[in-house]
Amino acid sequence: MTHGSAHAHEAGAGAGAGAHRTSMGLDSRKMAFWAFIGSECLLFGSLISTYLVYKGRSLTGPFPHEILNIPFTSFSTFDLLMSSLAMVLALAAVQRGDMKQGKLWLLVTALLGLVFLAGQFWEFSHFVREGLGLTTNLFGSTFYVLTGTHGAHVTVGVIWLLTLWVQALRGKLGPGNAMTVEITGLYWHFVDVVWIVIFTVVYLIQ
Amino acid sequence: MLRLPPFTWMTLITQFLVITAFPVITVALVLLMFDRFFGTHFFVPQGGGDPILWQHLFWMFGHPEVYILILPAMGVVSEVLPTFAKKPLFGYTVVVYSGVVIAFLGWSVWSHHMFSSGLGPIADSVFAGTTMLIAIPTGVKIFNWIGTLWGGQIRFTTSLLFAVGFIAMFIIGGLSGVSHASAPSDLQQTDTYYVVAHIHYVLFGGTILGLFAGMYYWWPKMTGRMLSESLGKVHFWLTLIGMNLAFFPMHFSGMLGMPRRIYTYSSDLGVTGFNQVSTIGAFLIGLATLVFFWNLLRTRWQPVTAPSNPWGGSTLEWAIPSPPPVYNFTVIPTVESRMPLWQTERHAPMRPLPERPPAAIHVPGGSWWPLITAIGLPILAIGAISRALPIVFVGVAVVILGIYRWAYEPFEM
Amino acid sequence: MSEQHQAHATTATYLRIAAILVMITLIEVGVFYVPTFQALLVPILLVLSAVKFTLVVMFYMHLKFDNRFFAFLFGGPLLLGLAVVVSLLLIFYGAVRLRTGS
Repeated sequence: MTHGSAHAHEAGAGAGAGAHRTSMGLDSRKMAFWAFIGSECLLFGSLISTYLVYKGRSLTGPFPHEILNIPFTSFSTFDLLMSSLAMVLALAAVQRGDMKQGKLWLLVTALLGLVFLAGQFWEFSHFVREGLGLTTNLFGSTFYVLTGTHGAHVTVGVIWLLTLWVQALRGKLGPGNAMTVEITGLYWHFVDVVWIVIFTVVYLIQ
Repeated sequence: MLRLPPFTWMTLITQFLVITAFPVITVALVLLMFDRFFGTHFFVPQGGGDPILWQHLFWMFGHPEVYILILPAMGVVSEVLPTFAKKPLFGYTVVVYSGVVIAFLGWSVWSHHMFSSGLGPIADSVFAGTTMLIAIPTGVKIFNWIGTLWGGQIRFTTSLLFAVGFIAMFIIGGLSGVSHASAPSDLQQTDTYYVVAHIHYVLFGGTILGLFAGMYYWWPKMTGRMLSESLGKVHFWLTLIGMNLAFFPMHFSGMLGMPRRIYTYSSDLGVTGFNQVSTIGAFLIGLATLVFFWNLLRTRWQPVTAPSNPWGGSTLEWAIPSPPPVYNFTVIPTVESRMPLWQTERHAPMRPLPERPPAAIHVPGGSWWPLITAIGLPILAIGAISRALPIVFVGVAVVILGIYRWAYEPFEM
Repeated sequence: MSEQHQAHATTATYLRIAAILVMITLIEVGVFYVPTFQALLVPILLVLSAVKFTLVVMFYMHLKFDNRFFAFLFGGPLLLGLAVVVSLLLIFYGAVRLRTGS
């Protein structure tokens, strides 16, 4: 509970942020965001369920074992994990007022996210060339919709991070509004965590 | 938390249902949209897809959705009855927990909408069981409402009439619902007008009557004007008679096999009489609603000023003027009891709040950007449906612009 | 405020967690490739990815140190999402077993 009230006092120190306190002493934006992340569990849960239910039911190929590239995707996974590290370092830097580091790590997170997206683009176009399109079979449909939705989330995250980075460059980001960075982090880590599940369920368990 | 008004509780519980159930239908609709626009086969058997998946995804949303529809109305009833019986809500804690249990169990029953889809005996039995189970917390609430009225000093205002009407009509709807819970029984009833009878008793008799009860209860608070009680009573009786005429015969026509989702029926089916009665009922409902709208409009043209507490209610909203000032409370009150404005065993009524706030109260400024962001979405959707890609991009641009302007708007206005 | 953060999780902790995450990923890929583990592939991978999931949520998303209410806001829908996946799998694959049995 001390942590909660400490956050609240810190938030109060920021411009206008005092109004974000709830009667529980928790930041209302953080509360709303965790609720949103909860709802995203249902979104991705439904997409993953669809993938799993249709696994092995494709009428024609290509099939997962023929086309999925584990080494490549492992690199993507590693990239996203490192981006979560960068994110957490960015937040720590902003919270302690080290904006130089903060800007650096925000940019690194965004760049690692872009690398992931580039990898997805490459993977998708490679699959299409190999004959796996959106409508080719159930594997194609469920795979592209699931990983595509995830990729769209990463894209939004990268835009969000770059926006924050630009804010930092303009001197508008600091320990007073570190909550913004914290919430960005929550989003980014969640996107990473969904990938952890997808990597396991789609790529490793064939 | 256990001093919160029951309506607040039910609304809170409903929000959890909303944020968990809507993503599922979002996915279902996206998959369907992909089938229709992009040629995937998520639900197309020729491509390996299974329409049953659609049913599961849809009803995983669809069942929590009906609890989303009914829980707030139940909250309204739990507010209205105590005020007009001059008695506290009977079994407040149990009513609250029942709401939580209903929301929780509401996630376990979805395939009772699929008893005729060939799920198999195990699935059928499981869902029949969970469906019967959910009748329990619902019944508990009904008994508590009756307990609230029992021995009370009842004032038959329009709001109370609608609340009591809710209880009676919802019981009828609940009874037909229980008959649906049994898979073999439901196999006869499904896709017939018996189900239509059920859903309208719980939705119209439940949600709509509850909504009207709330409207008559809170209209004076919201607008500072009283609604006419005589017009209200006309509205109520026309509605009650109309809805029963409209929907009760459907139990019979449904049992006789009249199917749903067909728009014309041969007279050989033997349901013409029932349908004619329903039509009369429907028109009566329409007439009743016109009376209601007239009542609403009348408060604009022939206003009768409403005091802060026209009903002698016990909850906080009645402690402030009608309509409330933009900041609501001059001073944030400390809530010691569930019925702050009433004398209870342990608490005296809350002291009146100061007329003016001791210091200037900061109220956040309004903003157009959330609305503009929201408007971007139907623009996007219309572009998608009419296959006009430029309009889709316009929609996306509006959404992105809206989000940025909204995010960068200073918090203090 | 910054003192509280350093009291729970330092940069060193974050780096250690990152190292663990990478190691687990390597193990996962290893389990995938090594034939000896094929039989137990699914449970091992599920457990390992659950560990990664938990580490990121608890430490990077700070849930371990935050007010329990946030865990409730996330945990409830998470369990529900898991239940959705499990129940759909049971319904579809349980049914297949029953149908092929007949």
